Amino acid sequence: MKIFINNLNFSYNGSFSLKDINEHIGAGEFTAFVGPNGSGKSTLLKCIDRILIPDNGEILFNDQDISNYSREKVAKIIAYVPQNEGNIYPVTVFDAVLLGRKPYVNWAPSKNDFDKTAEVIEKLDLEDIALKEIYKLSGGQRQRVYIARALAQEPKVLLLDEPTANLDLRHQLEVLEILKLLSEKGITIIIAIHDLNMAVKFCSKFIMLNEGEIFATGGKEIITSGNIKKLYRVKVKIINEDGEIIIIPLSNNDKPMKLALA
Amino acid sequence: MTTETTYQKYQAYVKRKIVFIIIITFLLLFFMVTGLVFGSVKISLSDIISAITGNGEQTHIQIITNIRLPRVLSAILAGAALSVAGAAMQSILRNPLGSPFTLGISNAAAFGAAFAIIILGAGDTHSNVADSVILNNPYLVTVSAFAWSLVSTGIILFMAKYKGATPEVMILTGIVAGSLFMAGTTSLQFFADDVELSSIVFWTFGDLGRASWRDFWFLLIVVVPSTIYFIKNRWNYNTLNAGDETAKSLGVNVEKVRTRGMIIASLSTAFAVSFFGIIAFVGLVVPHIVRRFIGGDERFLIPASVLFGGMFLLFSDTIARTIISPIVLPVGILTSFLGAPLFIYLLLKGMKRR
Repeated sequence: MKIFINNLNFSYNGSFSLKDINEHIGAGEFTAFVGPNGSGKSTLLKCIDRILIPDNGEILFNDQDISNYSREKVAKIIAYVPQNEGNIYPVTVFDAVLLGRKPYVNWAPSKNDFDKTAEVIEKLDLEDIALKEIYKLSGGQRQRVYIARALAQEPKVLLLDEPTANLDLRHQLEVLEILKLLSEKGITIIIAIHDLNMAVKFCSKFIMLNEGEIFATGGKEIITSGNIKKLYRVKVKIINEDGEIIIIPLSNNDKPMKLALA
Repeated sequence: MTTETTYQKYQAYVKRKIVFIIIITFLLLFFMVTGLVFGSVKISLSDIISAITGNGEQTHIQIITNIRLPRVLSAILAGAALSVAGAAMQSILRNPLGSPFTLGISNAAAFGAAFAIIILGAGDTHSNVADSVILNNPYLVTVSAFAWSLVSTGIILFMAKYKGATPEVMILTGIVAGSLFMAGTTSLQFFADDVELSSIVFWTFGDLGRASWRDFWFLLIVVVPSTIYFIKNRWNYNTLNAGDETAKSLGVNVEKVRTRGMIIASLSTAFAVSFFGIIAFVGLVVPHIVRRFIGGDERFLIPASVLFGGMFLLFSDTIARTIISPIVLPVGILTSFLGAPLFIYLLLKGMKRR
């Protein structure tokens, strides 16, 4: 599903969090929102899912404006995995994933809802822990559960806020590989991510945000040391090895850290 | 493992929860019978059946149909109302401490009822202790209890919506609001005459001794629809447990579900409190006990809390009536003595698990 964002503005307590956002994301594209803390990555994700309602502007999904859609109807198109989620009461993996069928359930889940849940659980290799309570899982397993729940929604667009935060290297790769596969199957994926190396390794499109505005947008060609320096105020060295881009942060000579070390 | 076996394993797991609900239903029926059998006068099961069908001794018919049966049925309804309100509030506010009592709603309703009795003249006072307040206008008492409980609910919802209060702040607000309403009730007591004073003090204990058929029907009219409402919303509460953003992304109108849920929970609480006074800890402890057995899935927790709550209050009331018979203790005292240590135990168990 294609996404068009036109003249989008969002303010919080009078100050702009997002200013004049105009962007286009292709169907099945794996897009990364990158930028420093507070640049508006998460806010933009939430505006796309209408968790936050923009002040003005429009977001079109395949030329359709969803601003008048009910929450349930939106949930059948877009799924969102927040950065921090903790179920305060014990529920099993199966129950957590079954929750993804909420937009389709009226009074009680049907056999089809249970089958879809079991199918997603197996696709994401969670069947051995299907009856385990989610608070007992590792960070990587839990993230897979949340992705599974989002997939149970059968979305056309999947949004994830920092899906690799707090995960070790192996689990970061695992989660991003799953997302890559899903994008190859036609689901439009957008992630907000801090790790530029991981973003460059897996994503095909990058939207660089700075102070609520789009700083640069495009493919891997925009991942340059100049852009990164302007965006993060950090010097980096970029190595291109057989098409694989590696970003190495260098010491910050412009503004050395004043550490009060005796 | 294939799709079928994952689903089958889940079905087997769910069956355990259904078995728990069936056991609770049978226990509830068992305690209903015990509640009818035991009391100052022990009446055998066959005599109860004869009394209910109108064929038994006149004394037995009087005791069963006019005293014990409405009391037993009202205990079930009040326990169910408080427990389901507690379970819903814990989900709605994402806080394990949520309950009509901790959020100050019980105290607000109690103040409203006392206000109606003393200031608005909704109660006649009589000197016999067991029935020291005859409510000549139960509608006014209930309306006043509900209105004041909404004030407490409103403060909490206001803090949640406009001040972005954390669940902890909401509970603290509830405790403060509860203290304020308790102070209000105490002030009313200060200006009350001797008989009114003893009536209100006795009334705030939380006692099912006043239960009549009229109270039962009133409760039934409110508790049954509100229970159905909570059961219908069990899926929404499951999403709220996962956080507001997740709930919204799953298609839930969080603000609407939260506001309506709190108002209906207040209504149930107000009815129970306006008839029977403050019965502490039931709404707080029952959902936690149920969670120990069947986990936090609201699809099962809400109906199980309804049944367990009814059973818990009925059991407590039967004990309160019989433990130092012929003296009948107010059930509120017993639920506090049972509930407080039970809650500490659950807290300790919870801490160990984390």
